[in-house]
Parts: sequence; structure tokens; C-alpha cells
Amino acid sequence: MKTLKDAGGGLLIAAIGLLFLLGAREMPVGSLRNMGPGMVPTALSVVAIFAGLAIAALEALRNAKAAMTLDLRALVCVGGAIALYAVLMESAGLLATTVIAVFLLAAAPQRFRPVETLLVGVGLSVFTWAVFVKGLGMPLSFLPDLSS
Amino acid sequence: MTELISGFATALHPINLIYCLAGVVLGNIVGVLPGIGAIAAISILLPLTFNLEPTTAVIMLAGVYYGAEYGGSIASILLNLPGTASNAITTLDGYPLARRGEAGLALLTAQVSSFAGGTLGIVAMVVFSPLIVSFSLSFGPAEYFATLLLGLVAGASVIGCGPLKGIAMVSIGMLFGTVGLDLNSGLPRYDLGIPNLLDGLSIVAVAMGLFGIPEVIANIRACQSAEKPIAVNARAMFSAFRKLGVIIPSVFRGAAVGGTLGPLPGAGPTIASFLAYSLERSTTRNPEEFGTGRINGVAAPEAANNAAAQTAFIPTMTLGIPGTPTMAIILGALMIHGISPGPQLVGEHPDLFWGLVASFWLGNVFLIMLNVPLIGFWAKLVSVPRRFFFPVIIALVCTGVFGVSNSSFDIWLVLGMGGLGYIFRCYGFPPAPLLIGFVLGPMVEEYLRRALMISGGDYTYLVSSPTSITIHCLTAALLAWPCLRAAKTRLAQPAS
Repeated sequence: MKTLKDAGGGLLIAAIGLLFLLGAREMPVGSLRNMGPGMVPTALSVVAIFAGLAIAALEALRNAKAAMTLDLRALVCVGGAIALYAVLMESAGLLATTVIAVFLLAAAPQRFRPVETLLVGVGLSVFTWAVFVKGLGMPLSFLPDLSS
Repeated sequence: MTELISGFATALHPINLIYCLAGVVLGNIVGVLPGIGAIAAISILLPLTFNLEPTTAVIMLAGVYYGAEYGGSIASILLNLPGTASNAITTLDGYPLARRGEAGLALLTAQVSSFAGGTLGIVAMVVFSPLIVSFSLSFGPAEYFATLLLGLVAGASVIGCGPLKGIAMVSIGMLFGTVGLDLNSGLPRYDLGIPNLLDGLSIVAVAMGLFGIPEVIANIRACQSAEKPIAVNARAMFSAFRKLGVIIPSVFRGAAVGGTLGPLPGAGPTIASFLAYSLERSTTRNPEEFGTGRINGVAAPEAANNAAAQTAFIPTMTLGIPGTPTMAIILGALMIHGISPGPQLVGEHPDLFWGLVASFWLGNVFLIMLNVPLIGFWAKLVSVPRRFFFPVIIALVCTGVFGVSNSSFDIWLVLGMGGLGYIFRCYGFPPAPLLIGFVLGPMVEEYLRRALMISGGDYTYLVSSPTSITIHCLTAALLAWPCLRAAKTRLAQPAS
């Protein structure tokens, strides 16, 4: 398990390379003299897989530690807030989405400040509405869109 | 010369002037606030510039970039926390000066050196850009391929991560770049049946995800309370003007180092500032005084990073090759506006190129005029608790990226890239090579396939001209350099 953790970064690279290699199977590769659309992706995938495995092997041998420990709580809070925007923004409007997202972000640090968080959320939603909807004409609404 | 004058006419157009001012002010703010870099700020602002004229858009985005170099020194001096990476070395002498009660002198030195360094960098850009353009106009697909390959290798050999990690990240970035319609055959690649993917991954989403989101995740729990910065007012700065005579040689040395390193792919302002500082130490009789608060130790790196920030635009604008990830985003902004980068850019869009150059200098004038009298305000901004910025960044990223194609798809893409970028960061994989591969990858493939089409599949065509051979030799040297250096250090320490 410990070794797997050390080698994780290299294995991740190799895994991404493998995914792209599998995806390139259906593309015509052509020949080196007359390349098809699949040639470059296939070649790059192979480079990524080999580089990833080499890094993984070296790090495991060297017992290299990860540069930073993964902060799962921060990752979940920030990732959750972004996902909220993706799911809610079009239907629930900017006000509700921003306030909920800001509360989710405020759950990441140790100390929770409810009043300040609410003020930031409301102020921020007004600001983004003014800039993006009024200023740039984005098709978003401030309040939940009840008509649809 | 006439081009430069008409460039000033473009830059002085009220709209361009307003966006130049907005860009440098935003850049200055981003620089003053430790933790948010210029790359994240530019990618967040990119969607806001979609409705602008391309010249105006690039003037503003560039302003954010070099503006951050000015603002970054303020946090370095008053808080001992570098505002951006390239101001890190400024803390060594800047903070001791501030502790000693000479914050005004340190800040004024940083601002004046930044202005002088930036100005010298702009002069270098005015002189050398036309030369490079006239040389590179004869480039065919083979020379382009060679130059782009050099850019990729330089992007992969970012100092501090080892060549293997760089190659891995560049190839992943290039793979991300292959998503979408293949230009030569018109066949879709990796579209997964999703229409949004046919146009490829949006550079805005990739850049925001890789540079903005991991920064937020890594810092959101670490920031408890802001430290108290050292107080300073404008009068202290004005009264320090007469003490500045001693920095003149340091500024020129720093600007020379920075101006030379700026255009080199993979170097950039950070490395320039470190080298300028060590050069400064080696030219003096008493190097032990450095680190205790010598204004030359502030002047040289600040002149260097600002000169480098300006000359970094030379290869980006004249060859279409970005040396740093920030330049890759600027290049992406040009492409979004339908301007294809390369040697033909200066000839086809002289108003854009010379307007941008002129705006650099106006932006530098704005910055020094803003920062010296308003230093009290910037010093207050340093002390705003950082927890307020994270929700703002997330909100701007999500709403901004939605506007790229008015769909939530790009928000999901930001989430994916952000998560990936954070994991890469935890394992010590730098995101910069990935972004450079993402931007340059499709261009490399296109020129390679075009060159092979012209020559009928003959690979010797790629090395058929002296220019392309020279460039390939440079690439090979760049690849061999880290190996040679590693061998040298191993030979130097045989005992261990």
C-alpha cells in the first residue's frame, strides 16, 4: 500500500495514457508516411504510459514521498461547490446557487462563520449577476426560474 | 518607428486605455494578494474579454500579467510573503529593510526598479521583434515544426521537476489537445458522443482547472488569520527618492539578466529574478551584506522580473511559441479571437502588435503612478483575510466558464481538470508543461502532417534547411542539458 502511494502519480499518468490508447483504437492510424487521425494520439498515449510507468518505478524504488498530503475535506468542499454550480446554476438561478456554494466552501476551514458566510454569498451573487448577466448578457437568471 | 507611433495611437484609444488601466489594476491587486497568481487571474478574466476587440482583450490580459509583478513586491516587502513566485527573492532584502523602518525606501526601490526594468524590456521588444519576424517569415512547415518542438521540449524541461515528469505532463497535455475534430481528416477524436467535445476542450476550462482550482483547494484550510503587515505611507516613499542613486547599476544588470532570460522558453521571470540576485551578490565587495536589507538586493530582482515579463512576449507574438504557461493562455486568447499566432501576425495585425507594445509602456506608467501615491491603500489590501477570496474565485470561475459556450459542460470540465490538477500537485507534477503541451500539441501535429504531405512522406524534408537543423540541434541540447548537469553534480560529489 505504501509503495502504491509513492508510485501513485506515475500510475495516474500511465492510466490516463491507457484510457487515451483505448480510445484511439477506432481511429485509422494510417502509415508513418501518410498519417491518419489516430497516429499522433496512439504515439502520445504510448509515450505517456511508458513515462508514467518509469516514474512510478523510480519513485517506488526511491521511496519518494508525495510532495503534499491529499486534503480530502478541502477537495470535497471545493469540488462539491463547483459541481453545485454545474447542476443548479441554470435552473435555480445565481442567488440560490452562490449562497449554497459559499456555505459549502465555508465548511472547509476549522471555524465556521454563519453570518459572514451569508453576507458573502448574497453580495457575491449580486456581483456576479451584475457582471455576467447585466454586463455580458449571459442567459442566466438571478432568482429560480419557475416558468420552465 | 512609424509603427510604434501608430501603436501609441492604438493604445491611446480611450477604450484600450481604460482596459489597459483595468488590467494593470487587477494585476496589481492579484500581485498584492499572496496565493493568487497571474495565471489563475488571467484564465478567470479570459471569458470576460470574449466580447472585446482582440487588441483590447490582449492589452488587458497582458496588463494583468506584468501588473502582478509590480504588486507582488508589495506583499514581499511588507509581509515577508511573496505576492507571486517571481517576487520571492525580493523578501530577502525587502523585508529586513521594512523591519528597520525603511519600508518606504524598499517599496520605492521596488517600484522604480520595476518601472525601469519593464521599460528596458519593452525597448528590447521593439528592437528585436522586427528582426525575428523578418528572419522567420521564410519559415515553411518544417521550420515551424522544429520551432514548436523546441517550445514543447523547453516546456517539458521546467526546472525543478526532472525531465521524465516534464515529458509525462507534456504528453498528457498534447493528448488533451487532440480531443475534437481532426483538422486533416475531419474525423472526430475522443468525442465520446458528446457534441461539446467536437470543438475540443476549452483552454479556459483547462487553464482555470489546472491553475486556479488546485490553488484554492490547497489553501482554503491553511489560511487562519492574516499576518499584520508593516505600516507605510506615501510620504515615506516620496522622501526616499533622493536615496535611489545607488541602485542605477543594479537596475541595468537586473534588466539585462531578465531581458535575456524572458524570451527563453521555460525560463521566465522567476528564474530571472533569482539569477539577477545572485549576480548582484557576486559583483559586490561585501556580499555578506545581502539578506540584511540592501536596496540593491531589491532593485536587481525587481528590474529582472519586470524586464523578463515584457520580453516573454517576443517569442509569443513573433513566432507563436509561448515560453511560459501565462504566455500559452495569452496565445489561446488570440486564437479564441480568430487570430492565428506565428511570424505572419506582426505583418497581418500591426495595430495589434504595436498597440500591445505601446500599451505595455502606458501600463507601466499607470502602475508606478498608482503604486507610489496610493501605497497606503495597497498596504491595507495586503491585510484583508484571505478566506474572503476563495468563494470569489470559485464563483468567478464557474460563472465565467459557463459563458464560454453557455452550457454547464465546461463547469464539469473545470471540476475534472481541477481535481486532476490537485492530485498532480500533491505528487509534485508541475501543471505548466501540461498546459504548454495542450496549446502547442495541435499545432505541432498540424505542421508535422502538413510537412509530410508536402514532401510526400519524406522525413528528410524536416531537416532539409539550415534553419530547421539549427533549431533541432538547440532542442537536442536542451534535452541533453539536465542529463549533463546531473552527471556533473554526481561527479562533483563522489564521496556521498
